[in-house]
Order: sequence, then C-alpha cells, then structure tokens
Amino acid sequence: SPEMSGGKAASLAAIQKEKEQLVLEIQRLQSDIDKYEYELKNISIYLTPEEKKDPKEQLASRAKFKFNTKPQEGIAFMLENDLIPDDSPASIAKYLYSAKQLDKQVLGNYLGKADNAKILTEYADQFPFAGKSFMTALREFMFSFKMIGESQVIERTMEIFSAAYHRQNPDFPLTAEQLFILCYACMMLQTSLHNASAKRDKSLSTVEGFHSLLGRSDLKNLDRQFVKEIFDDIKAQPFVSDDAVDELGGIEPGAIEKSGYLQKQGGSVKSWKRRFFVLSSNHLSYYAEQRSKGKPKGSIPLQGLEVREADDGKYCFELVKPPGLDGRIKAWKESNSSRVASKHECYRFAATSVEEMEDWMNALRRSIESSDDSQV
Amino acid sequence: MGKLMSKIFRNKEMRILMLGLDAAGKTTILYKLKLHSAVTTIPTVGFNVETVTYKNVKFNVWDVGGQEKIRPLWRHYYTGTHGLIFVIDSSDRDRIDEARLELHKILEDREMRGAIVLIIANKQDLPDAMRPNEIQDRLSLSHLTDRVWYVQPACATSGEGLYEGLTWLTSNSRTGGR
Repeated sequence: SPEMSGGKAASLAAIQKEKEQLVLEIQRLQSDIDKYEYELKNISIYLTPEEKKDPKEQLASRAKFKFNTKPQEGIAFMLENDLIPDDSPASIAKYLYSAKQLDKQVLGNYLGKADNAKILTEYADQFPFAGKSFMTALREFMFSFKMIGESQVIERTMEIFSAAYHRQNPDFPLTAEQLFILCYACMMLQTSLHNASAKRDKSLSTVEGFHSLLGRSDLKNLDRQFVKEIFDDIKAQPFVSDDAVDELGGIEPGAIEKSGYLQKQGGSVKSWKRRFFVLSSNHLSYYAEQRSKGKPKGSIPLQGLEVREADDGKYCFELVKPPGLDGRIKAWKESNSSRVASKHECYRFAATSVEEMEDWMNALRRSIESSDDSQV
Repeated sequence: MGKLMSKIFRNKEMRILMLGLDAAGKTTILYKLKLHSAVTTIPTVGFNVETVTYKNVKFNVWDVGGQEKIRPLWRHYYTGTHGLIFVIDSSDRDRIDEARLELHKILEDREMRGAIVLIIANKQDLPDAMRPNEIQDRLSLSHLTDRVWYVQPACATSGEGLYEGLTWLTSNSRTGGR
C-alpha cells in the first residue's frame, strides 16, 4: 500500500472517528424515532376517532401507555403534564382509581409494592363501600386490579381493604382487625377452591373445614349461617380480576393458558384490528373487547399449525401451515351472527414488545405440541 | 412412552411450604422452577401455589405465610407438609436475626415435626452475601435437634442452585409420597 505521511494518517483517523460518532448518533436517533412511532401506534389503540383530535385526550392516553409500560415513568409524566396535581399518595390514588384502560397486572404490581402501601390505602378509600356487604366490596376491590399472589402482598392488601371498609361501615359487627383475618381466610379459601395446583388440598373444601379454619383465630364465635354464606359465595364464584375468565363462563379458569390484547391482521382486507385473545384447549379465540360479554368473534384450532416470526413488521408473528401444505387454515369467524370459514392462509399478529411476542409464541408452540401429543 | 411409565409408577408427591421474610426471593424461585413445566396457566387470584415436577417427584409448593396476627390461620398449612423451603436473602445482614426467630418459631410447631428443612441461601450473586457456613451459624441451625436440614446456596434470578435444592428434598424425604 502507498506510504502515507504522518499528517495525512492523523487526519484520516480523525475523520474515521467522526464518522463513527455520526453513525452512533444516527442509530440513537433512529431508535428514538422507533420508540416514538411505537408509542404513537399504541396511543391510537386507546382512542376513539373523536378523541384522537383532542390534544388533552392524546396526552392522557400517552400517560396511560407510559404507565402500562413503566408505572414510575407514567406517574412522572402525569406530574410533568399536570394530569395529577401533586405526588401525594392521595392524588396518585385518585388518578389510578378513575383512569380507565390501565393494565390490571401492572396496576396490581404497582399497588402491591411495600413502598406504595400509602397509595394503596388511599386507593381503597376511593371506593364507595358504604352500605355494601363486605363480600361485594371485596369483590369490587379485587376486580379493579390484579393482586399478585405473594403472601406478604395479600396480607397487606387485605389489611388495607379491611380498614377502608370499616371506616365506611363503622357499624359492621366485626372490628377492622377481625375483618382483616376473615378476608385473609377468604383468600385461603379462594386458593383452595379455585387454584388448579391447590385442588388436592381438600381440607378447605367444605363449610366445616372453613369454619374450623376461622376457629383457629379469634373468629371462633362467628355465626354459622354467616360463614356458610361466605363459603357458598366464594365456591360459586371465584374472585376474578380478569374479564376473560368471566366472559368465557364455561371454561375453567385454569384451562386458559394465556390471554391478552394483540393486533390481528384481516384475512381478505389487510387492515389491523385490536382484539382480545384467549388461548385455551388448543384453540386461539378472539373477542372484540375484553369487557364485552359474549361469544368469540373467531377461533383457530391450533393442531398442525406452526408459529413463526413474521419477516416484516415490528413484533409481528404468524400462524401458518407447515411448508408444503397450501390453502386456507381451517378456522372460523363470526359473520352476521353465524360461523363461516375463515379466509386466512396465514394469521398475522402484532404484539407491543419483544417479550410479549415471545410469550405468545412460546404459549402457542406449547399448545400446538400438546395437541400433537394427544393425537398420537 | 414417558407418559405410560409415569402412569404405571405413580409419581411421588411432596407438599412443600415456602416461607421467608418479604423480598427474600420466594416468588422468583417459584416461577423460575415453574418456567420449565409444560403448562402455564393464568394465575388465579389468591396465593401463589404451583406444582413442579422434577425427577418423577411432584412438588406442590405453597407461598403462604404472614405476620403474627394471622399466624393461627396459615398454621393450617403446616398439617401434611413434607418439607419446608425457607428462603433467606443472603445479602440482608440487618434482617438475618428476624429470619432466625421466624424459622425457629415455625419449627417449634408440633405440626411441623416431620418436615425436612431446606434453607435456600438466595442472592449469592450479590457482593458481600453471607456464605452457607455463616448462614448456618446466624440461623443457629446446630440447635435443631432431630431435624434433617440443609443450606443450599442459590441465585434465584439465574436459577443456580434451585434444582440442587429440589434434589436434596427428594433424596431426604422420609415420607416417600404415595
């Protein structure tokens, strides 16, 4: 190679360095653009067409999205933009109570933190418990977020609920502390009756068992009829925070392998729609809205299909037939209240993060594998 | 074939209670173990209970516990428990005494007489984590007479040590399940 003078070599090295820095800068900007594009895409999920025109609604929607991805950042964003007046537990709790479309799991993780016990206390006080039976109140409270199953969190949550209920119902025959013990026992009963992994534990499967559990504490003299009513209530209807369990009715909660929102691309019209998906019994079914009671809009039997990441599109994945098998996938969708064969040769979905996409792909693969097993 | 074999040779079953102070890492351990099982279900509202099958033994692991006020209730779970997993945050020297008192309190209970005790010395990856020997001392394990116990160093976030712990439980289980 030709000789290079010392000066030339140095300036070339400087240019090289500058170039590298520029490339890094471009990459950084690109990732910012990606981030904001992704955020914008998700904001629009939460908004109706009218709301999309309103900058205030857009801001609120952005705040919710931020909260659902990173709760702390969401709260900081709300403070910056005066969506909440100050960072007192009461102000945060008021917002959390009245905001719609917060992810219940995220909310549950947030409220369950020991550091956020004051917020949870204020949050419980937002509920109109006065005049309601404690069971109705407890169900409403538990439905509003997904409480995590850690013993210490359950304990704290029940203690806070009981105090709040008691403040609003001072004539309730039990003390706040006794109510706390009763609520904790209700969670034990709930676990024994409705958690598939706990069902072998038969000791709490009868009213007598529950009564004797309460007898271990200072709730020995509870009226038997009162205890029976609580038992029957929890046995007939588990505590739920997930609408999906509710709306599927017939399907046992334990049988749902995964559920949640995804974007789904249409079969003939290639537009994207947000649907609520439920993976259960080797079928992937989807609903218009999580809250809407009713039947699925469509269902895909998974047996014999394959899952793969899509070539294009962010966090996109597909359900397809194995190579060599052409044609439409055997599945149905609802059209004018009757079931018709779907037109999909490939089902394409979009998640909102890599983790979510991988979770879904893994869950689908497991389900497909287990359906293949059962056929052999 | 595997399925058929396990139908003929019924799996053993062990009921395990997992206790420990808050933030010791119980949930992380439970779900790290659960990760490798076949089915994931939507967790039901209530206590974390998971069934984990490992080396033909079905572990039914319960995360239930709490403060003094409600101890009379969760003592309910002592009956029929084959093993106790007691989880320690090895980096938390401030609370090791609290953990010791709690552990001994549980083990004094008549209903826990038959249970073998696996101490998981969690968070070994953190600097200045107490090593198994120190934990053994700080928990006064040598005072436990007539009790099968073992300290397993572990790091729940990476999963290190967890299956060794389960192996210890299976090979020291007196009940042998069903």
